[in-house]
Amino acid sequence: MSGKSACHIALIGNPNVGKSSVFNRLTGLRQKVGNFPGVTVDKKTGSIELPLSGTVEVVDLPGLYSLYPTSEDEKVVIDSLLQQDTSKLPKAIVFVADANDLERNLLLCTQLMDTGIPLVLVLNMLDTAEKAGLSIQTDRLSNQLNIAVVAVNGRTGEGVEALKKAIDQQLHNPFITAIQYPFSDAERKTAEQVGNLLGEQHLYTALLIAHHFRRLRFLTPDQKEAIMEIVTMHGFNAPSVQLDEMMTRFKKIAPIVQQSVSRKPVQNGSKSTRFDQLATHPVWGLVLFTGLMILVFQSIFAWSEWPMTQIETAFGWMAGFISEHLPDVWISRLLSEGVIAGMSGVLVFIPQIAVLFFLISLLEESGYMARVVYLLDNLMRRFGLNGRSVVALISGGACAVPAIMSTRTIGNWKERLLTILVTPLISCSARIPVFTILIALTIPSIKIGGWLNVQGLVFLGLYITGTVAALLSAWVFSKLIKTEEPGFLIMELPRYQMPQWKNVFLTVYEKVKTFVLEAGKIILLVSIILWFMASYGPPGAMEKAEKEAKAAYSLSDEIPYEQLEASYKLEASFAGKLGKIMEPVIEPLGYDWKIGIALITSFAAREVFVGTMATIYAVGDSNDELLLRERMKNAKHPDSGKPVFTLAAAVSLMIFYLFAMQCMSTLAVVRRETKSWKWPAIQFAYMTLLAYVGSFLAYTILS
Amino acid sequence: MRTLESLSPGETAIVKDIQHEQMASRLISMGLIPGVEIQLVRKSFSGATAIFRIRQMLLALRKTEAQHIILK
Repeated sequence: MSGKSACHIALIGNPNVGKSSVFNRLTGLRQKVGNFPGVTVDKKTGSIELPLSGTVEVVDLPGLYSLYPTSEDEKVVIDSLLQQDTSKLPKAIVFVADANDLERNLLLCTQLMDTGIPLVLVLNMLDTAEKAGLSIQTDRLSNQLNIAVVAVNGRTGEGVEALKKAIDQQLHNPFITAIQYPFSDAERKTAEQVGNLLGEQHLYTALLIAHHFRRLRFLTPDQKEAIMEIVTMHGFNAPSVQLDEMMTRFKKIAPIVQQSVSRKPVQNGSKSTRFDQLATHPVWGLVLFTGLMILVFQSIFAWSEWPMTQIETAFGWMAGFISEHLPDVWISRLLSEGVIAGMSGVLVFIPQIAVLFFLISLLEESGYMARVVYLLDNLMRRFGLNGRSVVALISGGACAVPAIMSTRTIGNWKERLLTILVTPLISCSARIPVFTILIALTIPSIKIGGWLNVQGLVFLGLYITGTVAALLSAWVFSKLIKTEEPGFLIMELPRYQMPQWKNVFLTVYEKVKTFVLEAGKIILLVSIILWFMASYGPPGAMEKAEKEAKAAYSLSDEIPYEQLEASYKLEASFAGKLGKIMEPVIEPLGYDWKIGIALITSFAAREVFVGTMATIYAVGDSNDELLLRERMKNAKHPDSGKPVFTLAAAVSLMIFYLFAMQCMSTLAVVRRETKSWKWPAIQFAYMTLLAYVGSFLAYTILS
Repeated sequence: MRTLESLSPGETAIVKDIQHEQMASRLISMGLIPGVEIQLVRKSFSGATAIFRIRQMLLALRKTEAQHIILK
């Protein structure tokens, strides 16, 4: 075995057995995340140096319970093991088992042993097993199964060197066990004929192909047809044969476990059992969850505020530096107002994404999240969602981007899609500046009963409206989208454990990197387009605007010339023209063309509303909110002389910002997560419709 | 015919059969097999979901899923 060849080994195991800890222990920081071909399943790879085998790549495969999996994530493992190109097959399998429940773990282990790939069995979590009164004789287990068994503590790293040695041995001098599974007649004949057809020597691999041939991409249509014939001829009914196989295996595993594991009774009522009684309690469980979520929400805002301000300041300084020190030509303006502003728009989300994923992965790693799913599954199901949707909906209160990325944990595709579609209706932090300025403008700052602030109530009302709209939309979509895949809960509640910081930080790092690289590209592009639209107009228009600004300035120098010019130029630009074209459409909502421009530029990110308003109303510094508020308050419709920002118009505008999909980052992420433009397009359309109808109703009723 | 749904909290029983092929594949691969001892740990407020214990594993199931699991 040459060290330079692309030799790789696969890390496989049941979910919740501490596989990622073992992976991190083996590979250290030398890992990267990619995608398995054709699916959105993360593929984590790392490498190890072995004395005999050289550099070996380690691939971390998704956790699964058997080689007959039900979810798309898990099926990736089948694809990896049933490669036609044998050079792409793993040279060895490291099977990570939870020592607490050997019986269940050994099912998949014996299946993998029968594939004819050299295997090393890792016993993880022996310490917790000992506490539970189990004692496992690894050498006896090794003899019974006839494979190498290594005890590893993924949390402390104990046993990792022994594991590396065992892997090295298996690669250097592979030892393959003979097939242990007693084939039935139908299985044997089917496997033999499928094997002959494809030139597959190994009987169990041929059997697996017979089970999975419908989804295997390396098979030609002719081959699939031929396999279909073989399967039908032998009355090989895949689902029931699979059940029989698993039962047969369990019968063989039971005595092995009995002989190598001894149990002594321990007292029940450990700390984690007592905590679990609280966490899954119908009433106290919900109280605990609500409390934790308030804490998470608070932390997202509290911890990300400072770095967000720093990022914005840094980019503001860079833009300022460029416009000051580079000649005022289009390329420097593109750099400062387009590219840098766009990059700032991407990077400013990083603190929130990082904090959110930090907290969520703490909850996931500790095992608590599964309890939340259990607790809220029934409520969410009434709206067509899943218990896991709660995580995304709450995260959406900070930012829809990481929230949508967190839906990957929802196994059922329809439930996941519904969650993705409605999460952007939850009021995110980018809407806060828009709401703040509009509320301050039109809602009186009085207190009911001396303490209940009306402005605060309106704010709360907006959040509640958004949440209700999200749940109701989910319900409507659940009636519209048809699916064959039945929704199951069937979920293991993992044991509680202290989160492992390394795992948590690696998760955060991966999520942030994915966001910056994938969504960032699209955000940057759209920012540049928006910059172009706001800076350029039809031929001659900009020169004309300049002249008009000069004329206006000569009449009254109340407003500094530069701000006046910017305001006139924005009006004359393509964005301004578009705003005016839009005016008839948005007039029923109570908006004029100036708000129209803000609606367009807000598409880059909602908080741009304030900056755009500042430019239109010729307020030089968008941070000078008081001056802007005054200008907006005094703004009048030119023909009727009535104020623009009436209560009706402001509420209508708030509803528009509440419902409309004005966030290209979200659209970019939805495209990435759903792998098509179809769903972001549908989402954009229905949210715009909802926003338009909602705003129209609000404006009509209130005015 | 008793199903898993009929258990009361704390009660233990032996699984006899799973009457839903698609679900059976998932449940059996998780170790919920005929002959195994299963205990109802607790039910949710509405009774729509419940937590069971099989050997060392805690498993959350919906009522609609528990109805397909037959007990001895």
